[in-house]
Amino acid sequence: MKSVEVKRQHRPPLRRCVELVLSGVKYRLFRAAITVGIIALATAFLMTMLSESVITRRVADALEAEVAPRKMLQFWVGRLAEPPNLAELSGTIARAERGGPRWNEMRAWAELNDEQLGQLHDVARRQQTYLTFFTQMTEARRRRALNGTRHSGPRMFGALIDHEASDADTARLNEDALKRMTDYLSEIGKPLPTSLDAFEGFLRDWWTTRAWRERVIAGHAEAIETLNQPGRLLHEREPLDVLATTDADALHAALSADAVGFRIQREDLQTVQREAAYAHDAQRIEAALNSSLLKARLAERRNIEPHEVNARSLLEEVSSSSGADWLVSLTDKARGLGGASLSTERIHQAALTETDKAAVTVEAARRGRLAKIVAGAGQTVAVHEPVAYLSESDAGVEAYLESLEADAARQAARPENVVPVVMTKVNTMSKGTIISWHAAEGDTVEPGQILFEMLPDTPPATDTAKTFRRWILRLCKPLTADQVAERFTSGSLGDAERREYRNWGELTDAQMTLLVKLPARTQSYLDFLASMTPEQHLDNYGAFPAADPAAALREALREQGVTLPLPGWMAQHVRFAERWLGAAVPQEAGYRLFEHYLDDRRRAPALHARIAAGHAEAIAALRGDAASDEPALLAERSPVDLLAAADEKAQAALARAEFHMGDKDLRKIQEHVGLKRDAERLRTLVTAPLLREELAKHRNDLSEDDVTADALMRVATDKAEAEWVNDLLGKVASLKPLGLTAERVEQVAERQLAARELAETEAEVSALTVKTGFMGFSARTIWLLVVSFIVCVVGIANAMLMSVTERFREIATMKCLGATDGFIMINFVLESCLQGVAGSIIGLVLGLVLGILRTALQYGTTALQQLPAVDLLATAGLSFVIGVVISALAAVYPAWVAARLAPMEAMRIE
Amino acid sequence: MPDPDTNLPSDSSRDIPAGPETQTPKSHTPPQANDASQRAVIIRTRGLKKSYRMGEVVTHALQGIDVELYRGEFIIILGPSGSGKSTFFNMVGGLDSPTEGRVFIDEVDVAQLNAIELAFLRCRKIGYIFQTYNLVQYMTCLENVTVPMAFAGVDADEARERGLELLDLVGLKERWFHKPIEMSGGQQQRTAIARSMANLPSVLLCDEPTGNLDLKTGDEIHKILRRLNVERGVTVLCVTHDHRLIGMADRIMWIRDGMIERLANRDEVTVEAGSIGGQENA
Ligand SMILES: Nc1ncnc2c1ncn2[C@@H]1O[C@H](COP(=O)(O)OP(=O)(O)OP(=O)(O)O)[C@@H](O)[C@H]1O
Ligand SMILES: [Mg+2]
Repeated sequence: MKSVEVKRQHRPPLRRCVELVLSGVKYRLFRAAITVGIIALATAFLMTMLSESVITRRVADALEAEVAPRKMLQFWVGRLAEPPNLAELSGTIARAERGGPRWNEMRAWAELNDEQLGQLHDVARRQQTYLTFFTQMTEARRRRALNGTRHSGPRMFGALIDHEASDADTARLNEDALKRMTDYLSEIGKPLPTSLDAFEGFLRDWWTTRAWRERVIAGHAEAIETLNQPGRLLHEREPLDVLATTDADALHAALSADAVGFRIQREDLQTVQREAAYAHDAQRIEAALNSSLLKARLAERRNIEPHEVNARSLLEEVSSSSGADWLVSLTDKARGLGGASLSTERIHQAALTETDKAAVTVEAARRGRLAKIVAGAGQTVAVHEPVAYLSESDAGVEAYLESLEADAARQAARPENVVPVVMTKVNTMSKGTIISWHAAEGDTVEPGQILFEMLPDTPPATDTAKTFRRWILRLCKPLTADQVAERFTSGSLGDAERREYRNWGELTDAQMTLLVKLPARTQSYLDFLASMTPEQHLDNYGAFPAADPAAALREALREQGVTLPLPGWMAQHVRFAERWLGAAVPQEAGYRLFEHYLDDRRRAPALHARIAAGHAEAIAALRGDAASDEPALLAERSPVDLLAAADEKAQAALARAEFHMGDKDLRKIQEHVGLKRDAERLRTLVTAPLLREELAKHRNDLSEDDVTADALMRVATDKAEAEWVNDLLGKVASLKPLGLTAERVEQVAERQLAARELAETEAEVSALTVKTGFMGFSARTIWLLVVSFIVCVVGIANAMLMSVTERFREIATMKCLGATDGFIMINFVLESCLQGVAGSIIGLVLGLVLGILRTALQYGTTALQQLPAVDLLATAGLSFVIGVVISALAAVYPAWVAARLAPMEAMRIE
Repeated sequence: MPDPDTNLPSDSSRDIPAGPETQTPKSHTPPQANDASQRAVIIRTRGLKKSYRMGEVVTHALQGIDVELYRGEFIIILGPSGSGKSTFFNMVGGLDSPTEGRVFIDEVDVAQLNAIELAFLRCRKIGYIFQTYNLVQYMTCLENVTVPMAFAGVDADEARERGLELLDLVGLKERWFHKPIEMSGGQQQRTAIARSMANLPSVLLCDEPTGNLDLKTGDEIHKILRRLNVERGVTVLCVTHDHRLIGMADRIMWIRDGMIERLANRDEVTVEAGSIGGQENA
């Protein structure tokens, strides 16, 4: 046999191969397009899955980073509020790092050493395994397994301990229960995650370390208690507020004080405080929703139904700068409205009291020097009559006054430089009584400065106002003797007033009794006379002594002074009376009594005068006119203020001056003062622009400028309107000024919204990512990735297989023309590589876009903000390589088969 | 007479026989059976057998063929359909491996060759012409012709030159840029012939080259084959059903049921020309 003289066969250069492939691809463009399409789809699918996972993971990371500060805040707020329960504590111990802050805290609280705490740590870690194992069971199963325990937390292990036989240091296990547990577990086919020995070991350790855990909890509780002591950080305050508002250094010092023992690093504290400030401000912003007015306004502004208004819509609104401005200005406008909680009745009453004008302050109308006060406190002046004069020179005023004095007609011309201050007219008053002067002679007064207070003579509408008015008068205007007599006659003389009078007049009991009884005695005689018929008079005297005998008697007593013996007609009367009423009024006694009465009646005026004088003295004492050790009360303030204050000091001073306020009066005055105070609060409501705005809207007759305090008062005297005011106050309730700038509001709202969105996505994301999974992907994600990878491989392999098998004839021909197997392989691999490259590029772009879109849909804008460019690039690279490599590999097998076939066999396969 | 379409080279020194009956003058002595021993054997088969197994049924396509083909011969193989002609063609061309027996090409045992050597063989030693032309569809006429040259390592420029030359030979120089689908069957087959000649093979194997063509076009193909045989001394082995080719062949081989029924020189055959059809149809 001749030796083989054939040489190695040539393979055309790669460039030529590429050319060949390209022209082939061009010829089968449709087919190639389909192949590329399939590769693109497969790669796109893979890429979508990969990019989604990568983005999801990034979102999860970002979420974690973003949620971390909030979690930290929650953690701190929680642990400042109350100590952890056993389950929480176990978690903390298991996570604590040796020498870390938690570690040190617990070590200090429980007074353990590192070794003991290490043991606790070890037990806690072991516990997690068993805890998970048992908590994953249904409750019924768990009960059966664990000796019927009702606990679902760490305490469940107690069911396996023989409590009788165990003590603090040694644990006796309940062998029966353990046996039943192992039997039951094997029965339901769920073996313990560890060996039984290990479990028993754990139980023993768990038992012996339980006191330590309790000590940690107790220590923590104690720390909280310490912080809650008066003067300490948390005393009567919420932890969140404290964290938000306390100065960092003080906070750190307070928390880490030896007696407290919390450990927090400065940076963490900073984070916590920042978060707390945000949470705090967010609370304030959201608190605005308590106001139904704000709700209504917000609904109007956002064009939604009021019931659709919620925290979210508020936050959305104020996360824009215009919205933030709106909220800040609205709450600012409400300044003065918040916290005024009055009932409709109260508002009504207060408004009535206020419009009564019981006491009126009169302000200076112009600038000038108060030269002369002509009407002092207590003096009553008719409307428009001068009470004082403004002038630069006292002499001018004196001269003018003298000229007035001299001029009977009081027509003397007033010099120009003397300006009278007159009694102003309020409502329907005709006279006013000066209560007190707020300016002194010689003062220079400015327009608007209060000159004096006066009491109009118009009777007040309400009972309390009447009492108040009476007291004011009592404190500024001494009673006349007549007035005193009238008080006695009125019959309304209370015990307190009786005491006052007795003291003022320095009366004996007898004198006082006389005065008190006198009106009744007078009355009985008057009644007696009045009871006589005209016929009886005729019978007795043949004529009427007067049309009205009682009036005649009164007249006689007053005009003539009561003297004995009685006037003739009176004696007749008496005799007559004796005859007629002999039985009732024995002649002797009757006459003597009457004489007595008349005697007393004669003495009374002097006593009244003494009382009046005493009253004047008492007022003087209050004013400080008399020498007194005590500071004079009325010198400092007006009687109105004195009564309004109604404080102990005032009461005492009044008592010293022998003013006695009976309980009834006291109550009435307090009531009145309360109403005045409420009225004052009502008046301040007008300072809130919001009220002016609303009131102007509510009342067509008022413009915003018209809404003054007085207008509001007038409006509120109407019951219905008082109700409206009350309603408004209710609606505005808790709409306090935020005390935040618009920027801050915007910032807080944005954060809060983002936080809400985060919270929503967090659940979704955490389902997809599990820290422990492969490369940080969850099992589900990995499963999806594997599936998409298989889809990718199968799709591409199929496409390549098709494209090779349909070309067997061509392969055979090429082989006939001298193509080596290698050439054919290279050709196909090259072709599929080219298609793979094209398909992969299309696919990864498509997949990337799809992946991003899908995640954006799922997680909102957070996903887009968090695009992990580098990771995505790597993913794209990976998908690309996978696409190309799989395309090449998928082509290798059929090409290899085709290349190895004898040409004729290949040609036969169609 | 030559068709103007075939565009035969004008400098052709000799006439191409117009029909099988025409005696073709030759520059070198036509192969004779009797001087076979002195002549170089280019293809030799020894006990060549091929059987196809299809499930239970075994088809014995070739049942032991021993034949020697000489260099420069023009051999045609005749035989009824299914007689094993194509199978023989494949064995000889190294396109399929025999079940038994051996094929020697230029005294090289084809069975001993590895894949690459086989490729080398197919590339340089043998030219194939199929009934279905088997042109590469996405290549132009010229590219199709130059493919084997590329496999043979001829550089592109030279390949192009030689390709054009070959196309000229088959009368397709002007159409070098056409794609197969733009050409008639005859033109495609001529391209295939040009391609088969690309690396100047010693043997040209044709399996019913005119099977898909009409008589006239078939004749042109036959003429070209003959001319190549005569001018270039290429050994031509042509499987055919066309008895007109008998006149052109040096030897005729009849195959029936996988066996050589008869192997004869043209001279012997032309004598009994009348009975040829009878034999074919028997
Ligand atoms: N791959 C194959 N598998 C099974 N049988 C085959 C195969 N190739 C050919 N045959 C069988 O071998 C025999 C010879 O076939 P072959 O193709 O050689 O015939 P042929 O002489 O070329 O016929 P035709 O003139 O019709 O082309 C036939 O009976 C055919 O059925
Ligand atoms: Mg055949």
